[in-house]
Amino acid sequence: MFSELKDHNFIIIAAAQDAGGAAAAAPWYEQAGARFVALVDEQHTLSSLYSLVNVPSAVWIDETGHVRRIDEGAYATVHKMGDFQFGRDDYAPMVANWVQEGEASKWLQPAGSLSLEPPSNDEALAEVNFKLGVYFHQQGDEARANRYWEKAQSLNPDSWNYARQDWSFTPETAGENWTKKVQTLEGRPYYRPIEGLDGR
Amino acid sequence: MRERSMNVLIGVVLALAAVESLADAVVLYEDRAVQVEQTLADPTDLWVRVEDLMQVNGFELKPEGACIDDICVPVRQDVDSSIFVQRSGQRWFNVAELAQRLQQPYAVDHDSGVWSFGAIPVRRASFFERGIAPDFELPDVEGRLHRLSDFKGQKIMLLSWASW
Repeated sequence: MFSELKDHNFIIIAAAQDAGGAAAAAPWYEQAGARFVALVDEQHTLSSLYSLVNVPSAVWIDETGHVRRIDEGAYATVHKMGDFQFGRDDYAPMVANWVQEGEASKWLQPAGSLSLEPPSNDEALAEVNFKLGVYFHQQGDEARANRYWEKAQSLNPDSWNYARQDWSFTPETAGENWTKKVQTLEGRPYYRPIEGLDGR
Repeated sequence: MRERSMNVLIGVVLALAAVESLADAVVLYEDRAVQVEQTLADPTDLWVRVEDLMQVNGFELKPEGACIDDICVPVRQDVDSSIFVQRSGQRWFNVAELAQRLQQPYAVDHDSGVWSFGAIPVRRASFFERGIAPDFELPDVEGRLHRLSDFKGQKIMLLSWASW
């Protein structure tokens, strides 16, 4: 998508939410043939700053530095794994429309109109505990890392990022953990509904 | 014998004092892990030397208080308080107390002396109230640093993803 749109004063900045750093992210960027800005975000800084709780998630920023859409499950296409499929193919055309039409795009939300809620006390505490976990993981102290990652998950159970980052180091049980957590949604969406597409 | 006991006692006290003043800590803030060589040992607070404050959290102690950008937290420096003390001519600043006054979240692993500080709410108001994209700096896979503000003037799609 970026190749087709890059001549329209448009840039994609991707940030891998990976405590494993470049070693975890680089092979994926290489496989994707990344021609966009490809960053490594060990502390999940982007998610913290923009209150994102799942991946992939997108934020649109206009030429004046204002956020115009936020926190959307930004798949470029539908992915199929046997009988299971995930992703969507109606998001990329929205992005293309914005890039080509600019302020005239019907998908662009008015600057300053987004409902952006500061984190609750528990969510804010979850973040600092998560970062303690990343630090101890980087120091090789997995027991202590797990302690703080588990605390982060208990303080902010809505964050899939905290849970899935933690599970990524125990891949043998990650699938089972994910299935159990999905069941706790009880009908609530895995990604926040996309305004204009998902009945909002 | 009594004199020797007294000398031993003095030695122990001096040693304890030395340990207290040389306790170190690690401060995590805004993607940085800062090793602080000297802190005042305290079971609940993080006291750093005033000259280390800037590298710990970007604040500078000025006559009017602890300041960053257009934020200043008043701090009296002529008397000891819960945020500022002088010991043997050294000025110490309580970073945990500053965090509490700013409603800045933090967590600490006391066993290892690692402190993790979150965002200062008042510094995030431009995002939550006016939707101005918060700036950040992150490395690419080769370690080169990029700032969001480097790309201002373009349409930007930030995309968070993960290998997991």
